[in-house]
Amino acid sequence: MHRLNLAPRANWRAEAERVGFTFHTSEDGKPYWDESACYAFTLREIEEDIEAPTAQLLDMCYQAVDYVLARETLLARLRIPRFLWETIAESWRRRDRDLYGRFDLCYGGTAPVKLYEFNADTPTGLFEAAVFQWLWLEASRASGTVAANADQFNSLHERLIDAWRRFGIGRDTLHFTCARGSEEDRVTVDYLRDCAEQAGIAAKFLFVDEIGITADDRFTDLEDLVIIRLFKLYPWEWLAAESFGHALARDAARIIEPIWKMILSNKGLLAVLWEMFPNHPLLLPAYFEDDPKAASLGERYVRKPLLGREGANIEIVGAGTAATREPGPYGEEGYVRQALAPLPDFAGNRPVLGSWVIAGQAGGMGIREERADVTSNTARFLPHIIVD
Amino acid sequence: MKRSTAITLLGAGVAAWAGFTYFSDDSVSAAAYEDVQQCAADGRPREACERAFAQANEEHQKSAPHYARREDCEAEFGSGACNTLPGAPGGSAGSFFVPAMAGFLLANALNSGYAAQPLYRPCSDANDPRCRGSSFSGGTAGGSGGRWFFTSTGERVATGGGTTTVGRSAFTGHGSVATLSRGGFGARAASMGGGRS
Repeated sequence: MHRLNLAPRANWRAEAERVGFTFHTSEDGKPYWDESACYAFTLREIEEDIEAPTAQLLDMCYQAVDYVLARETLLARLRIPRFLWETIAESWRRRDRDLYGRFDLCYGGTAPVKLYEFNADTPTGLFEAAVFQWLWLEASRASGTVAANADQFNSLHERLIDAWRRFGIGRDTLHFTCARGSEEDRVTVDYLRDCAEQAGIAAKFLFVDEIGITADDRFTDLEDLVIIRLFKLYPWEWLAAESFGHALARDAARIIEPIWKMILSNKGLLAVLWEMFPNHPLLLPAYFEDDPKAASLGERYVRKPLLGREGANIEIVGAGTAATREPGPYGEEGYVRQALAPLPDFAGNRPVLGSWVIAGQAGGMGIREERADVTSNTARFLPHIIVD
Repeated sequence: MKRSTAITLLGAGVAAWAGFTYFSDDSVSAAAYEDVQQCAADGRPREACERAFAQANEEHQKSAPHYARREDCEAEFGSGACNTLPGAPGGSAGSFFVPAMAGFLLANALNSGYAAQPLYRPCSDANDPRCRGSSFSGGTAGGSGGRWFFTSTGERVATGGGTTTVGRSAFTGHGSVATLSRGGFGARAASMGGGRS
């Protein structure tokens, strides 16, 4: 694994906008998409160090769902609302299909990768990984910027279309929803809808605040039609806490990601995995903050809110370092502590690998890079190549 | 090769799909049973049959056809077939008459997301003075001795196992429904600005 400095295409912004990748630059003018460099991997690194461990981690996560469902103390510790426990168990027993997830991994070229966290419910960064990164490679091969035979760990687009075909949605309309006001969320949802339509599914979009409810707790769209299947890019724990949340117990079977993902999208999963697989080479030691064993992490560790997102409220605690604390609104629900595994350092650039799983299989990668210790929503997205 | 071979995007506003009307037979493969025993005898796991029965009964409490007067209900379903439903929708508790649930319908597809639905036996006894000859949604039971049943949306199905085909609305209700309110989701995002990772 190494980092290559490259000359960005002169027209990359226009290219991004042409395909609907509108959030390529942040509001303060800093690039989000950054093709002034890329990361290069060998095929062996991709297959042995990243792809196979991703499959292994996913398998461990699926085992963790069984493990947590068998222990009410853990469901309570993960702050999963009690009124949904049975619904979650039923969804898992039924094996409601899941679409996607992203493992954030620590890797700088030396195995084994270490799991930072699993974004199992509302991962984003998908369109840029699946589509724009792929288009960049095509253009860069053609222009000679990268080797003509350079490959990429990225079959996300094909896998997404294939995954939708296997959801058994048939002739029902699949509704897509996300919150108002986030361009990034909207692009992600529109992309997934595009993939669903390519799989032959009839799809419709509405904002999450436009969802209606009937007297008997069915969800409706803006034409007062009952929502039969719903893909939501909106955290399960937010839905559960909001005023229509009570109706989820009835309608959970219709929602993607499935409700059992509440167990995996919680940072408490990190402590659960460490309890199930102590000293596993792919894991970092992690404990619930109120667990006396958390003291074994010593003076330096990372503190993560159970339900945080985008790096918000993550804090690196430790003597000898300046306190690094990302601001944010999370943490009321409690914290986990995870052993510190500093991001690899490529001349001051700190990448984190986002390894995607689609319909239960590893299928691609996106890299976010920051010049700081915690990867937040300001991290830049860099493309990658495979060359031997 | 570790990457997609080609990427095509349909692009925004793929209005061609709107409506999707060229699938005129908007149908679902299903099976209808009179009770848990009949369902189990058809080779389904008893537990699944019991769950379907319970689900259908729950739907029955919510969506059974209801009548303000007992005789109107009995005209459709026969003498003695109707009772008050405690806490019936749309009125004060106990003020409506509904037919007894006489069976249940379940979708065959696994993970269809469809809850099992209640079935009702139409009034079919020519000697029943109350019986109006089942005008319920236009179907007649004819001489089939009560083996015909109706869904709460008025679709006719035969019980006794085997696969039958019903309109999707048998599971989802008719087209549009009454939306009570909107805006019950989205408050967290509005207060925080986005929710992704």
